[in-house]
Amino acid sequence: MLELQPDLEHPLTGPFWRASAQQQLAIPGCEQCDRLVWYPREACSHCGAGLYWRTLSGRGTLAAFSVVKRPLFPAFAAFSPYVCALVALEEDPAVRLVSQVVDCDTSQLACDMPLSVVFRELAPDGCKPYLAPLFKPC
Amino acid sequence: MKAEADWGSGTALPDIRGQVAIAGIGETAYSGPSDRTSKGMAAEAIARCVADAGLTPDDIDGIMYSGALGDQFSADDFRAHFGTRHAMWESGDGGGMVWAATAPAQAAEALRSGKARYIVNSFAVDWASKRGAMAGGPGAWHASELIKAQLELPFGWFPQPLYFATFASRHMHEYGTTEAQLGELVTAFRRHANSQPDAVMKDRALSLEDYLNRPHLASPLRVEDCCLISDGGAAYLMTTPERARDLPQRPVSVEGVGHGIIANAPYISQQGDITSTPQHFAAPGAYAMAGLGPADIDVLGIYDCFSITALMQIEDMGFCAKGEGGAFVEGGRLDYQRSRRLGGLPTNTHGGLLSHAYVLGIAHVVELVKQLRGQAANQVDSPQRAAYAGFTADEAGTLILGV
Repeated sequence: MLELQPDLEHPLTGPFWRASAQQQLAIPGCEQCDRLVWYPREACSHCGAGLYWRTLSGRGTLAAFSVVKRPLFPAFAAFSPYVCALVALEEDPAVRLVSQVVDCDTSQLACDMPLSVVFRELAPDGCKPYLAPLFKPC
Repeated sequence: MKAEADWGSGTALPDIRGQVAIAGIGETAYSGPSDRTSKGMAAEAIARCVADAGLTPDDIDGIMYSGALGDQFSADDFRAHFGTRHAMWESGDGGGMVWAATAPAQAAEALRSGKARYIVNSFAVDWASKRGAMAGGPGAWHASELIKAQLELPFGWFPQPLYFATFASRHMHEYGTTEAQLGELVTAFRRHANSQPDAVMKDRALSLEDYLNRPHLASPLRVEDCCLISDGGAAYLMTTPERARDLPQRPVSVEGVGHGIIANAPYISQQGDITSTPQHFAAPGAYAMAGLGPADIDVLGIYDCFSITALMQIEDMGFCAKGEGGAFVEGGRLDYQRSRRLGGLPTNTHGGLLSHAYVLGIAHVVELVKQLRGQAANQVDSPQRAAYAGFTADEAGTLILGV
């Protein structure tokens, strides 16, 4: 059985989902060098200093995507069809958020198109609903 | 152009050129669900491999396998199955994927130091049989990893076909690669499978038109762009070149080994350049060790878990420039009849993971040994040098063989 439920209490990744529940996109930034650090870890991968959860603009571009008509996993049927995406964030395009593109004409999707965050409830089979940062064309 | 240090690195390996010979190969039948177990298939492949080398199980004093998978064939399994009692050198750093390429580097040390004289590396999977139960299989590790489970799976970016479907969209965007070009690669491997007696897809023809008429699984990829899920296993036997000369088969020499890894391993969503693979960092080390370059490779076995990963690795190994892989594979260039002399690059001459069997690269190495011995079903014209590109998303290995 696939475990898909985001754990809001997990020390490393819980803050991401707690921010999302408040309709904010937050990822770790360095207290010292100010760079974004993704995925979450104990200390800055660039300078070793401490990290804090930084609220971002929610703007980015479409780095890569796939239109999934039929889910490859049964649990994903709840939100299929869907557009799975890697989103390059405005504050640092080297940081890619795994997410989805919604509210779009899939035939108009193109890499590098600008996107902005929109919070939507996802509820894969077997999961309690969770508010997730997804993206729409802007 | 991204600086190399930005997104990955090659691993320094000891120079083992000419120190290891492959003197035996063995395989099981390859199939869909079969009710065979991994260990049972490994035992069968090893028995054939040892016999192919003109040896008996009592001669085997070294064994390599993938320790990361719980069901591979260890020294204890060897003793229990073959009824031997002697001590064996063993290593869990062998098996398939990347390690089917890098196993000889570790074997060389064991041979040099006298820890072992004849070392078998095997890999076997029963993932076709287990598919219904959703136990194990290619997605299991990815689903169990904390960060992936918490920050990738909740968005539906899983399993691997989605990883490489997204990467393919980027490759197409940056370089103009087309679905028809992916289809050229897929159908070349399928044609090889159609004349390979033990290929799972032997009787399933696939034209480029057929391919293009198939629906997307996850755009831009179709089912045909994704590897099979198979039951099967294979093994190869390593020894010193001196001992190999006294054995019945024409020895195949290990000329070069390379290994590369991305900076953000294991998280390929954060890989600096998603139009490339860590093969970009692995191949240079193997070429340098062998004193060869891409132009010297007569036959290629490339880890084709997806069409796009094979295409990107062809670029990353320098057979063409980055971004030109799509045009490169057009016009049947990968067909086994198109030797380098004729402007081709015979690739995955057994059909690969896409059309032969998904045994994670171990059969690629076995096929290259057959090619260099002159024993392949789809025999390339007198190859002298072969290369295997192993891959596991965040890591890659390269093995260069010669006769």
